[in-house]
Amino acid sequence: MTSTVFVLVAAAIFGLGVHGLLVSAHIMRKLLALNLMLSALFLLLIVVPATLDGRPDPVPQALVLTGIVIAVSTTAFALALMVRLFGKQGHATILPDIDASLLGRRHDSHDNRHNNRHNNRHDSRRNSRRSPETDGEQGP
Amino acid sequence: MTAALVVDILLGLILVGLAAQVAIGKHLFRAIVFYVAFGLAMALIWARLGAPDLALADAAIGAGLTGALMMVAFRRLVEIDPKQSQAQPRATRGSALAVVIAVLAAAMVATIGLTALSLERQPGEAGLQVLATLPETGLRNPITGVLLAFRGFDTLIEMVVLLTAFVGSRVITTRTRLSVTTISGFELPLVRTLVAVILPLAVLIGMHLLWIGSDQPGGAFQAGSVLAGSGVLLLLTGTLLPASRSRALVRLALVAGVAALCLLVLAPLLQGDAPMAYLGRGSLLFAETAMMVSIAVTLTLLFAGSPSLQAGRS
Repeated sequence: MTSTVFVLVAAAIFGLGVHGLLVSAHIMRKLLALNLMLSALFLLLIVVPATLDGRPDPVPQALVLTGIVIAVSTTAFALALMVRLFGKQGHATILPDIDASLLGRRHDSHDNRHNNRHNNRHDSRRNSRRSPETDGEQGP
Repeated sequence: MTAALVVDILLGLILVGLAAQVAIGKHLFRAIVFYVAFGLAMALIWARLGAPDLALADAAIGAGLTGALMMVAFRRLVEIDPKQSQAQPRATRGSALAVVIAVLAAAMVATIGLTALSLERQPGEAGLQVLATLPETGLRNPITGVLLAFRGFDTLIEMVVLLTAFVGSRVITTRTRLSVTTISGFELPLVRTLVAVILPLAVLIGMHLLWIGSDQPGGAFQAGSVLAGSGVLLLLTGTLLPASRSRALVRLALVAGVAALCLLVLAPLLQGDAPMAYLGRGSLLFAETAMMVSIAVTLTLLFAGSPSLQAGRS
């Protein structure tokens, strides 16, 4: 029964993580969501294999231990990337329209983007570094 | 319904509730705080499942250090743009499609897990072999056995990943901040006394975890992350400060884990054994000590966001 309960818990956390990853704009929230999904998988890895001598199988335990350290390493690297991105573009969000605009106009100067109505909001964000009265961080 | 099952369900509900706060809570900072709480609840569940090694690691690394790294990254965003703290990003956009996808993903995980549970579960062959071979190695903690005696290459690559993450972070960080992470009021006698009490205890616990790791729950990862926790404490109280110039000693500490494990791979070749053949408890303790130092220094430096450390106000 314990295993069944925790499999369902893992499934719920995985779902919450997927949802967070899909809907959040801020990169740090995507990272939090990814970490949730990881935790759910760790839980599944430990709960599902048969126990040996009444304790979880040591091989998946060692795998999960390795996974925890790798997760903190990659999270730290991703956070450093995010801080750099924020310093460069003035916001740390991934929005669908940013990607669309970058596809065709990668080499455009920032000024040209004022013409693109999809990008108006991001320009205001970019400018918000210079003019703090602009709201820098708002989802659509 | 037995008492144990009630405890399981309660723990599960707590974990799912905290995860919901992390995933769909409104404020980013709140989500980070809830993530720390989530890590602690996760540690409780590991303890409940009979995996104290994972409980220790998740409490120290998953909850403590990941949370600290997230918070300091948030702090850096606020420093670049002070608006960030007030304009709390309304991070979630409602989307029916996302809900459907999330529910399907959860259903997929539940199906996989429940199907695996419903099959007749055979004990894992690798796990049985570990338990059968463990007495030959003289170790009593099967997880340490797997990490260092049986699957040492995994651990080597893991240390390489940690080192690579650190080097990568250094490469992309343009500005090193040399102060600012300290909490206000660290001159207060209370804070200094607290550090004076906690720090020796943390070092003692770290050493203890390292020493008993061969026989009981504990080991290099847990010890290293406890020491990294004390490094974070020293940085927050201004006893240690980030330094911009890297020192030879710090670099040595960063690569110690990888270097020691490489020695463990190569040393058996001298005797004509296979690479990474098991050499006994002494070699294992040597490698674990080096790994502990590397993990502690790397995680502390990742928190500090600097290539090195220097003594601050004492």
